[in-house]
Amino acid sequence: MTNPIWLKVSDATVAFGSSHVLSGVSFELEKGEIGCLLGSSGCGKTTLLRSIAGFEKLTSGEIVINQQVLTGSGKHVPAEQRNVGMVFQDYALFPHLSVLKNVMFGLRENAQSKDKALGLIERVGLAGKENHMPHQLSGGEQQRVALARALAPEPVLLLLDEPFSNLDVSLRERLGHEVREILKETSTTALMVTHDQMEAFAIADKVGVMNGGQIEQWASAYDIYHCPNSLFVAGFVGQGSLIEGTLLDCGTVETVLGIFKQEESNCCAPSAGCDVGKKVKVLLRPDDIIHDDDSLLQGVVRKKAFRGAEFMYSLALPNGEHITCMVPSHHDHPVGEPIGIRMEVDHVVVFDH
Amino acid sequence: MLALGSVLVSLFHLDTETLSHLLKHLLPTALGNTLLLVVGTAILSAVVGVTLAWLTAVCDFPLRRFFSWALLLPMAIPGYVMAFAFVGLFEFSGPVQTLLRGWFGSSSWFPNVYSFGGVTLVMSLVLYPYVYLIARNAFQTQGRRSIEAGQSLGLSPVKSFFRVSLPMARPWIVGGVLLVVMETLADFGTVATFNYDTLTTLIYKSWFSLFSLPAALQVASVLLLAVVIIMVIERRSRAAQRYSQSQHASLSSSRFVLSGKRRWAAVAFCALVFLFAFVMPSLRLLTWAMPNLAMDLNSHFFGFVWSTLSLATFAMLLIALLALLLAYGARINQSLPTKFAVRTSTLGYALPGTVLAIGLFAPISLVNHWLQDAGIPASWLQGTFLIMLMAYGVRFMAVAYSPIENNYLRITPSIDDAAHSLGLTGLQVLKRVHLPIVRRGILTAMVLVFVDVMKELPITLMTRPFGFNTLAVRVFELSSEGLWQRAALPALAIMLVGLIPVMLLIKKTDKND
Repeated sequence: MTNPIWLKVSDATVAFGSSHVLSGVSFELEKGEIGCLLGSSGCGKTTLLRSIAGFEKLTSGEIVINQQVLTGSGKHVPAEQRNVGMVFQDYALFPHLSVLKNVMFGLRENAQSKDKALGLIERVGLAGKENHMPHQLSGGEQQRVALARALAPEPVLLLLDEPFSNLDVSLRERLGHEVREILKETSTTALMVTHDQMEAFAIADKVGVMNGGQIEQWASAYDIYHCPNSLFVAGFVGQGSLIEGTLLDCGTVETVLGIFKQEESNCCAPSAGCDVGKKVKVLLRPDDIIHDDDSLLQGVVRKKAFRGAEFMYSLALPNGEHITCMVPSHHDHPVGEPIGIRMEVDHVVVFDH
Repeated sequence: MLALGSVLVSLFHLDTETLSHLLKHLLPTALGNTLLLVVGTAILSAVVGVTLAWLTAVCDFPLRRFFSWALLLPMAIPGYVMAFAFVGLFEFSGPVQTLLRGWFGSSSWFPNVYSFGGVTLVMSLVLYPYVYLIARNAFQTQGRRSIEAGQSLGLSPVKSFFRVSLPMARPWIVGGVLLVVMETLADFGTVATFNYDTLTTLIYKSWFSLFSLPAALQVASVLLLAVVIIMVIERRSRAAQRYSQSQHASLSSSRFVLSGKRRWAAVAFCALVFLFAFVMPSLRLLTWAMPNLAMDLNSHFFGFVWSTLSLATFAMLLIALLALLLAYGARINQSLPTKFAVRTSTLGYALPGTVLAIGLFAPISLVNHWLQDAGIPASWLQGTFLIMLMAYGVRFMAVAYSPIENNYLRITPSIDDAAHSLGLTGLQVLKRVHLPIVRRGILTAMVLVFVDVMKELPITLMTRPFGFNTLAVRVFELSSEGLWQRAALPALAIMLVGLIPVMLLIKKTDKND
């Protein structure tokens, strides 16, 4: 059963003169879903977020939340009338107001709203700090206040702009999970922007990979990783290598490492077509390649990087191609040594040359 | 803008008769005097200011902490007050020469106070704090590492001053000296007290004695040209400051500890400057004012106080409000026209008060003529509060704008966005977010404008409505008639209020010490 479509962005375009910051972006988010726009800086993800918030105007296109047109066909509801919450990269807490006053900012001042704010402050784990001033809080705490403040007016949609980028890595992961929990608990529909794929994977139900003002792929995190629909997405998300292959049949491809066949259930390979004999590129993720000392299939270690639990080996194949594979770190092989590998490719992903 | 325009226009409107008289006799002298004074004051205040700054910022000697803030106190004394206190002390019939005559029988060897040397000395005593403040800040923020590197290569403190600190602080020192130059060019009260003819006194005389607006405008345009040149140089030197900025701040741990003769020389120098620039004039004023206190503290005096306070309060509220609107406008609308508006409206601080007053008069008197031709009596336009407030507004907008703008810089753009996304409209954001945050800046702006308007002499003198007197005008009138004892009380009142912003400044600089 699917929920109703809550946020619908159609053909969103932002152009300054001839340069397009956004060109024809479309995607949908169901009620209660958490979406994430992933991309490097300058890809337009922040502009898209700010357009949904109402801070920027679209040149063309439409933004609809809960069947209400907020932007589109000449209409632009100002930000303050949208009830779209936002958590900013620098948190943007009001420096002159206490934690409680910050959280109550978007509410009418009365007894219920105070109780509500106190409840939210407790929910984000800041009970007892409601009278602190923002500058007395750590970065993580400020971020929680920003979240509580944005959630207080029960926004129809919550936007998060790189919410964890100013925090250190360990805190980032923990807060990410907490935020997801809170959003799910309050059944808040949310859209986040980040350049950190681990963050996107940890929090989002749907991930949109953005590039050059467009969404390359809008899918679940799992599908984005295992079934990227373009070379850009394949390269941007996760690690991997591309090797030469030849199509034998629809969904079957022959490479120097053997013949891989696409299982029916593992849908997603993009349309390389069924031209027998066509040359293609095959995407191999490090987890598709298993180290096996008994295997006859071998690659020579060219580079190695110690990652703690595992080694990331870059292997040279007999035909000169390179692949990367992840190996438990007690298998310590010196550079130059051939090691055995076994292929376990569940998702066959091929691209045109 | 208007003032600037009319001065420029006047360049092409020659009042040949008065002008030829002016050009032949007065203008060359005034121009020469002005140049001499500017050069002399620049050099003297640079030497005094930089030396004091380096001593208190980099070295350690007895009473250093006291001197480091006390040496800023002379900023509270307006030039025209310092001038008559100084003249009163050192002129022929003053206490110093009388005392000397008592000892030596004659004091004819004593230099004449009413001289280039006298004005330059007083002007430097009033203005050195600008150089001191800026240079000290530069020395304090200079990377300690570079001085340590110099020491490790064998430089003595004095050599380190000339080879490391001074070259590194040069852009700031130049900035400070240029400020002094601007103030010297703009000064009216000090030179008038010394009867030293400069461009500003010539503007005043052309207007009030020769009744020639065009002649005054002509002189004003010469002065304006000088100011513009200095401003261009100032902009350049500011660009250089950016290159040599350093983020290392604290020096407190390792200062040069001066020993033996040197330390006492340092103490003596600081004490001498402090004595001449603050203690002596203050004491002189006090000893003048005390005997007549009962007589002078009358309703007449309180009338001046009242008119000064009400004028300054009104100007303060008006200018702070305008500055706030300007800052708010610049924030919500970052287009080129707004930036231009901010730029031009904050340029007025560079215009000497005399130039400004004359510049505003010209268009007003033109309107006057038109109205009179049309049969409407319009002489009320001249010498009204309206012109006065306009002139103050032009002159002090920058003073009010910069603290407010500084506070505004603390509000990141996303804070505005946050407020909007929580449902606030533009004016609500101003009220609930901007005002509480920039409150301190507005207060600072109000204090600064209040004190500046209170101290301001030439604008008030030249644009006030007939019969309207402020304390500053009163001081000037009494002291130019030689009634120093009677001028002392209003001068002290101005000084006391003037101490407020100096105290604020000291509190602020103390934090980085």
